[in-house]
Amino acid sequence: MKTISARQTGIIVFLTILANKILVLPSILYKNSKADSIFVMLALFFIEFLILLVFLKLKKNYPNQTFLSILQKKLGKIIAKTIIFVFLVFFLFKTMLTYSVLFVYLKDLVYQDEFGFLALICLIPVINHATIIGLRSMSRTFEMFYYLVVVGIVFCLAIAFFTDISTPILFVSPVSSLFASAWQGLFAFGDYLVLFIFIDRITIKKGEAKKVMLFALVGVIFVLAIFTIFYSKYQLTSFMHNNALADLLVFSVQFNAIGRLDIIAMLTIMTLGLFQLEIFLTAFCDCFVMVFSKLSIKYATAVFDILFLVIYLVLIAKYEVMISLATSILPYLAIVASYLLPILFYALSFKHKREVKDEENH
Amino acid sequence: MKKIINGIKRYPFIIVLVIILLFFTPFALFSPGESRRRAIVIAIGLDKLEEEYEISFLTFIPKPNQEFEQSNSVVSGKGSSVSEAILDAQLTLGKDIGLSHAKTTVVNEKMLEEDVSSSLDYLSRVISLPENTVFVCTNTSAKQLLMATDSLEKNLGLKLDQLISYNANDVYITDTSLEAFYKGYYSPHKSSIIGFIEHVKEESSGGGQSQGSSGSQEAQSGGQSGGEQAGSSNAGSSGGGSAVASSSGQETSEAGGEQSEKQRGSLQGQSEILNKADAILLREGKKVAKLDVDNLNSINLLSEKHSLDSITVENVKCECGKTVDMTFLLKNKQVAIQTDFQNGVPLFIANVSIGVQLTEIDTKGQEIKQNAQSTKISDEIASKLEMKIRSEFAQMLKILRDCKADVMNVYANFFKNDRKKFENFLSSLDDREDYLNHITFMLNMKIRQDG
Repeated sequence: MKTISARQTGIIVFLTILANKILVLPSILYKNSKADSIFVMLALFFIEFLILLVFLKLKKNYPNQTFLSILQKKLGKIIAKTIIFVFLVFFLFKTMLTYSVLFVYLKDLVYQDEFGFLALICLIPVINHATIIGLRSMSRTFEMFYYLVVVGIVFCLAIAFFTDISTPILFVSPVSSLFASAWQGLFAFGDYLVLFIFIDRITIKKGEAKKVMLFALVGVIFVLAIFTIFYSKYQLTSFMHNNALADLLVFSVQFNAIGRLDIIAMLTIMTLGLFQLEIFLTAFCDCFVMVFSKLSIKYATAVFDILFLVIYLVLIAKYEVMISLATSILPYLAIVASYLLPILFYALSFKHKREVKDEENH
Repeated sequence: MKKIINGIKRYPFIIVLVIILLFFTPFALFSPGESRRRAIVIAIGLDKLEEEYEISFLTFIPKPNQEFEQSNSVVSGKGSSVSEAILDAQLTLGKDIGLSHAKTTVVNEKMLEEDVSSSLDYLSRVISLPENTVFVCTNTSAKQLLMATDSLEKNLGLKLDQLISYNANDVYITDTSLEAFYKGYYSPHKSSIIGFIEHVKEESSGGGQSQGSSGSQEAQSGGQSGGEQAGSSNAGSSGGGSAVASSSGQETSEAGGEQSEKQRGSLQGQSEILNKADAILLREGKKVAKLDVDNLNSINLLSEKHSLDSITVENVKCECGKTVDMTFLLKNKQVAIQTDFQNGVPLFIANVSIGVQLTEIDTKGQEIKQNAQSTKISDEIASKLEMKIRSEFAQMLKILRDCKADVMNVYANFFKNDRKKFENFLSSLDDREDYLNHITFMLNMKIRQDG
């Protein structure tokens, strides 16, 4: 089995943490909870870290087993497949949301004309290919581009400091608004769940768990820094800006003479978006193969393409609809997939004494 | 061949790649350049006529030349809404409008009689328009200003956004972009500052003969205006400096003569841009006051960034005992803002330490042998300087109080430092928005000599 290292796992965690949080989310959350959205993010990230700990514990106790086999052993075939199916739906919509946000960003700032067909023909074959060639090759690519992405984000954040910023005004929203914001942002979280799907292909040696945690921490720091600087910079007009990371670069009269600095943000966002789509699609296809064990990964990608085209282009069709779904209905799915199921996994991560004995005898 | 086919079979994505290449390469090779399809707009002008909008675009026309000159043209369209006017302009131009490079948005002063944000709504929704677009107002029409801007660039090599950026960085200090306008507009005090560029249009008598004479006059005035422009950078507080560019074109007498010869046939009147670095104070999107450089300097007294200010103190005794006028440059400012409440009355305390440097002595015809650099600032001079700064600050504060416009971040300072008390204070007022009139301002000044 081709496995990925702890470092590569960490990079996957880093990339997924940034998914759907650095463009439109700061603006969406600001409408309800103003700059206090930073606290909402902190709280949600805290829960995410707990989920990461659950994963690491599960991995420690079941180092070589597939996610399906762990579930089947503990819960039986039907429940196991039902849980996997929930993840399948979760990752399908995650991919759609990521695609939607990336597509609208590129349409608004790069292409400006309708280029739906062009985007599909460019993106779909690439992410399909990445999924088919496998997690290991994909992770190596991520490893190569990791520092490029980091430099891109750091550059966007650093440039923001050259313009007028003031500390965001905090503690202005009632608790109910914070909960409303948390609900709206819920579907943008649950990123570590991909690790559960890839559990059998991840190798974490003794002491390497910290490495994964470190990458996760870097991702969280970046997201929180983007939120804080974005709110510091735009303050009351934060609700008007849908592309937080890119907008950090453009609002400055001082940089007018330089030209379009936001090209750095464009490259960073494009790279991030592509990698995130690859990760989510791989997770979807793995779930598909687990549910329909007789079908291969190629069928899974074909099914994804058909589902994507039908659901996204025919039924959802608009960015506004996708965002509205992600902030109103999909949080229910996120509650189940990102919070209830990890609690179950936590319970599963404890081995019965009999299991340990069996393993020792074996 | 068999090997190649087997290779392709092993990697079917090569086929996909070839198909994509075959599909897109002809498009890429035979499609016209982007500039043929899309006009690159570098400045937007918006005018409200009686019942419709007129939008004007200063567009960059990419064409090869050996003079390193950027050729621009102004295209306009009319419509009952801004988006209709844009469509009309697109039809006139025969191209789509690309706003990604638009760095200046100009409106005419008349539009500021009503809430200008409703007219700007379209621009606030266009994501391709950068947020750092400088927002400026002009006294005549935005279209005319853009037309004059073109000549400003040709004659002085100065772009409008560069001129405004200079104002923004050295005079206004506060950002005057479209984004900054919205920030102020949505804030509790609903006030913001935008730049003001004066446009002067003098109608000539027209006709070939008289145009010729006007051309030579322009050439002379061009020499003067060039001098004024050069002097403007040091004339912050006096307000006398102005960058002038005529659309008939003149930088020096000779160059101006040539330019006016070139343009004589095409222009009916003379049109000038006057940059006095004035600004417009807006409240709820409407103009409430026009601020001159002195007012702006007083606002910027509380900003450490601001350094372009000089003050003349009249009738002071110098070390030799004679009465003279002295001009000082204010530099190395240190500002500390405090807020406090005394018996429920909010106090806005500004501790300002200003370094001053003597730059000029008007001897009034007397013979004084004194080194300006080694002149000590006496207590009398310091006191007169302080008085003058205080009186200018008081004048500016009166304007802000009358207009209920808080562009000195008074609200933000109180809100950050003592939120609860400030909320109580605001709720005790009959008119919450009139809080500036109920706040006591304390200006503690320390004047020190700076070499």
